[in-house]
Order: sequence, then structure tokens, then C-alpha cells
Amino acid sequence: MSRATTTARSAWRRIVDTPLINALAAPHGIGRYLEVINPMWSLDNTRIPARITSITRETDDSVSIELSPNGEWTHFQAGQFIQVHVEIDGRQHNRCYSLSRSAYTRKPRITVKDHHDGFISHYLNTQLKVGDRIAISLAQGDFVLPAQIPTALLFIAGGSGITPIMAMIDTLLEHQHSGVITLLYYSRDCNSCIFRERLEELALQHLNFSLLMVYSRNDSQAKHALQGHFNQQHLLKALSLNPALVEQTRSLTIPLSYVCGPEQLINAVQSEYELLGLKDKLHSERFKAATAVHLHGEAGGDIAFNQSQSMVTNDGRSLLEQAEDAGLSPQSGCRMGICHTCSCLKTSGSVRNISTGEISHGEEHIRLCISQPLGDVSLSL
Amino acid sequence: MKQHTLSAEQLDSFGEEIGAIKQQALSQRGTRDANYIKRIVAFQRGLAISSRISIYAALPFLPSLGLALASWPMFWLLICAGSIGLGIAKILDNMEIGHNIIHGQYDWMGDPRFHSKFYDWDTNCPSEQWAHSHNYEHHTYTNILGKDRDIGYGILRMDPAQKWHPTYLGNPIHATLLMLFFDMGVALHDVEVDSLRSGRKTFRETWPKLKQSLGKTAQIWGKDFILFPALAGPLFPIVMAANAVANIIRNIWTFTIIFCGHFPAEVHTFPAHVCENETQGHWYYRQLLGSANIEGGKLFHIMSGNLSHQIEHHLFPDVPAHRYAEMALEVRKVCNKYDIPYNTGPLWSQYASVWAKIFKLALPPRGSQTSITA
Repeated sequence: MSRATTTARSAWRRIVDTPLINALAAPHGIGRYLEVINPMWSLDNTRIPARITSITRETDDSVSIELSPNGEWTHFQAGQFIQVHVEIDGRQHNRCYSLSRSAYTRKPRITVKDHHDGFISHYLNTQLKVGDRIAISLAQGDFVLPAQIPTALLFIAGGSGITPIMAMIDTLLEHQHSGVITLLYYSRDCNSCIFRERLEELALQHLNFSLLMVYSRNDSQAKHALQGHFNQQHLLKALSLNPALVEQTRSLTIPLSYVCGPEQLINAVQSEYELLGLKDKLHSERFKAATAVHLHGEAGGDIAFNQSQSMVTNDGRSLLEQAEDAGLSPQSGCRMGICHTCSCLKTSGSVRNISTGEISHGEEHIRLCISQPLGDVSLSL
Repeated sequence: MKQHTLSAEQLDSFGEEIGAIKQQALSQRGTRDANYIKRIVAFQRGLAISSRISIYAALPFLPSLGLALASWPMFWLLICAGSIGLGIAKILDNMEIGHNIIHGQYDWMGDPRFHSKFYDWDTNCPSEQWAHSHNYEHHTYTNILGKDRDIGYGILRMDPAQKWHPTYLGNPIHATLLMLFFDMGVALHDVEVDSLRSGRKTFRETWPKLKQSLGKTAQIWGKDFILFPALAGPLFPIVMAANAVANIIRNIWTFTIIFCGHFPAEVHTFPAHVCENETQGHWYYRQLLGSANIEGGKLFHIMSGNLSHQIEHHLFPDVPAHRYAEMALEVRKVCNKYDIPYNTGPLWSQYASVWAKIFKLALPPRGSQTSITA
């Protein structure tokens, strides 16, 4: 399933990128020379140059951006994300965005919602033009469909969390998958519902796909839609839409499920599944690192940056934020613990992993963006 | 030598004024700096490729091949252009690009191509080792005897306070050798081969760094003296010689710039105790007295990696170096205000002063000569 559109790096790249040619171009490697002649000839597969080929407005505050990367781009599985690198005022910023279209399409596409506090998402929504060049990573992430697709699947999306799920549904339906597919989709209201028309059209075309929209705000236009936040009724209602699932719904045998969206939605779905004892059946994808738990009495101490020989008082935020505020420029990427760009050696002290809650003691490589210092910490930074 | 001393309060306010110049430059970093480094890198890569092509393009003109193209003038023109061009490309890569990037001047861009952690330069020294010996030791303990191993590179006597020994009679010869093989000198600098000789470190302690340096040397020399010459088949020696000339041009130039930055006559050295509990103001003051600028045009500054602004470089090692020229105006104003000497001069006079020192200090001290303390 979710087969690759292209299977490998283009032929000339494999010919040029050989040990002998790279030895002649030492220590920079041949790619660093090629990209000077034409940026699209770059051989760097961590920052693949991609031209913007089209920008489509999805809602008032979201756009879909179609990309044409160079031959380093290989393939992706529906549900995966890419890191997008954008240069603004000489600084590179990167964020992760899910690919939002079928894995059978040649050009990858992302859909970006303009969060009012999101610097990059705002830039992509308002400043980016067709023909611009940005850089992307290869597809990453394990929020993907299993190799053996089960006969029934349930997707739960909230807001821009629809993006990886749209790619999965698109891919399944394009592949003429015959099993039952159900989507329970939360948006603020009818106007902010990304891919509404596309999903309604798919629901009409494919009998095995049923769609239940829920609007969290009161909306008179929402004829068939439910309102409010996720609960068990919504879950059961969504499943009962498809006649094939009625029997299963009654016995509470919930199909393999995927949830993506805001933290509150994911937490609500997770606790519901835990209650039903179906934790194993749920895959979830978060777009933001879980927020740092406020610690009482545990913060404090000093953070020592060994290489730059400076020190700050720990204020309990992530090490990345504190290092940046101390005037350091550590490498950073997704800022949510995924890309490992900010990986750094902690020489002493304890930190708490914000997403998992795990505590790391002593000398260890940590990701600054999701590490919350507990007392004195020293970093090789 | 007379030494104007500042009171603790004066040092503090001096430090604040210098710090303000730095803060202003840091807050202005942006597109201009990013475009600058990208353009220099693009030019450097283009020059390196075209110079190498020029060396091969010279070969068919070699009269001894008996081809219709035979022409000595064309052969010499292309081979010289190629060697000199490649030498300049290496100078740009090592100085304006490599030295400045490895200092972390462009880390804020968040682009791995220009980040100190990832950049490697076209010379024998592994950039990681250099970041330690240069960024840390030399820039923190600038001109402090016994701490800054850049004083004489463990081979030369560059300061009267270094105890004389008969081997220093060879100072001029050692300096000439260091100049011609400066790439190797830099590569072995952080390995501390001198500490090995004096017994301060065992071979076991030295080996990991030595191995890394030799590996990098094999990579760079293998490229210039085996792989590229091999592409010329039987004309191997010609390409090898052309590449050797390029490397020597780079070595002589980098040696010259670096020695002119710290060793002209009026530059001060310091005893070890000054860096204990040192204030920011005194640190700036020491950097100022321990460095010397070289005057020149814009092209000269770029070719020297802006180390011609050695004073500004030592005050602001992590500010993008192309900004030093404009910052120098402000620094001089502050120096005038506090009556602190600002050592600057044309290349020839600074260089003559360095060589005079190399010869003079080869001989044992006559009478009493003491180092200057701040």
C-alpha cells in the first residue's frame, strides 16, 4: 500500500555522487559545487530544494502548497510529514507539515493553516509565491497505514489535523480500496473546514467512505453536522453511518483508528480508547510538542553552556528557548522533538522529556526543544 | 615602552562602550550578511573549478607533446592563471569563508552549510580541532604566555619573555619552514606535538588528534597531489606541481596575515595571572593591546578574511567579519576617548616588524628585557 511514485534518486545523481568524484571535491563534496551553479542541482537530501508550483487557498486561513522537489526526493507514505525550511531575513526556519495528498501524485503537497501565533505558517500563507524556492526534507514519520489494510478503518481529525488523514483517504480511495472507511472530522465551523468540498465529493462517489462533520461552534449552515467536542456519542454515530459496521458498533468493536489534531482532541480520544480498553487500536499524531508541565519547586538551578562559557538561571522552559534567550544560536528544527537538529550533549544534570515525561540523568545526548531542565544542567553548547 | 593604565571604573565604561558596538552589529544581522557569505562562497567555488580547468587546459599547449597547439606562452599563461587562481580560491576558503564560519559568525542563519558545527575547510587541519585551539585557547587567552600557544606555535621565539635556548638560533629558518608548510603547522597545532617532545603529554594522549589530523591531511593532499594529477595521465608531475604552487601561495599568504595580526613590535603579551577574575572591560582591553590591524583596500580585507581587522576580530570574534570595517570606525573613536593605542599600519611595515622580531629574538637577550604587563 501507499506505493512510491518514484522509487529512487534520479540516475545522474547516482553517477555524480560517487566516492571518487567526492574525493576530488573534498572536503565539501561535489554537491556543494553543483548547487552553486544551479540550486536545484543540490545533492543534499536533508534540505532538498523544491519549487512552488501552485498555491491553492483552501479556507480563509489555510493554503495548499504544491511542491516540485529535485531528484533527491524519492517517495512518501500517506500520513507522513516533511520538514519545510524557509529563509526569512537571512535566517532559516523550519517546521513540520504533513503531506496532504495521495501518495500516488508526483508532486508532494502540504496544507498549512495560518495560526495567529505561527510565524512560519503565517509567512507560508501570506508571503509565499508560485516560483519561490524552499527546501524540504525527505518524508518522515510513522503515522502511516499498516502494510495489510484491515477491512475497516476509522479516522478522527480536528482542524488542520485533517492533512495527513486526507492523504491516507485519498490514497486508499485512489487505490480502489474496498474496505469501510469512516471519517469523524471536527472543525470550528463550516467556513474553516479544510477540504470540505473534496471530502463531500468523495463521500458521494465512494459508498464505502462515510463522513461525519462536527462543528465546535454553533452554525446554522451545518445541516447534517453534529456540534460540540469529541465524545462517545460522536464515535458511535460516525461508525453507525456505514451499514457494514452497525453490528460491530453494537458490540463496541472499534476498527483500527487514526487521530490527528489539537492536543485536547487527541487527549480526549486517547482517554476514551483507554476506557474502552482499545489503546492498541489507536494511532495518533501530534502537531505540537506537548506543553511543558509547570513544575513546582523543581525548576531553578543554573544552566551552564560549556562551549560558550556562559550561564543562565533556569526558568523552567525548554532548554532550546532558554539557550536562544541567552543569546546562543543552537541549531534547531521542528521544535517538537522530531527532527533531532537540536540534539546536543548534556554533560551533567537532569532533564525531563516534555513529550514522554522521561527523565534523563547525567551525560547523554538530548533534544533541546523538548528538554526541560530540572535544576543544574550543563550542556556542550 | 610606556603604558597608559585605566582605572577600574574607566575599564568598565570602556567595556560597556565596546559592548554596545557589538550589540548593535548583532541586532542588525540579516539578509545582508546571508547574501554576503553566499556570494563569497559561490565566487570561491566558481574560482576553484575554473582554476582547475585552466591547469588542464594548459596541457595540450605543451610543446613537448608535439601537438598542433604547441605554444609556450599559452602553456605558461594557463598554468600560471590556474595555479594562482587555485591559490586564491584556497585562501578564500580558508580565511574569509572557513575561518569566519568556524568561528560561528554565521551560526544564527541556521543553515548547516554555513554553520560552525558542520563546515569543513580545504586545508589539512580538521575544523573541529581548530575550533578548540583557535576559537577557545587563542581567542580566550590571547597573548597570554603559556596559555596562548599561538605565540610562536611552539616552535618560534616571538616574545622576549620566552626563555632563550640555543635552538632559537634557528628562528628565521624555522619561521621560513613554518611559512612554507603553514597548512601542516596548523594541522599539528592542536595535536601539541611540542608537548609530546617536552614530555608534557604521552603519545597515547596525542594519538587520537594526530590520527584525525593525518587523516584530514591524507584527504587534502591525496586530492591535490594524487587524484587530480592522475587525471592528467603521463603529465601527472605538471598538475602536481601546479597544485603545489597553489598550496604554497596559500601558505605564505595565511602565515603573513596571521603573524602580522599578533607579532608586530608594539603588540603586547601578558603574564598568566591577568586572566584570573578578569572583567569584561579588561578582556576587551587585553584583546585590543594584543592585536594589530593591517591597512588596505576592500579586496585586501576580503583576501585576508578580514583578519586585517585583527583588533575588531579579537573584540568581536562571532560577529560576521565583513562588518569589521564599519565597526572599526566606532572602535577607534572609543580608543581615542580612553587614550588606548590602536595598532595599525600597512602590510609591508607590519610584516617587516614581524621578521625583525623573528631575527632579533633568535639571539639571547642583551641586558634586561621584560614583558609588558597590563
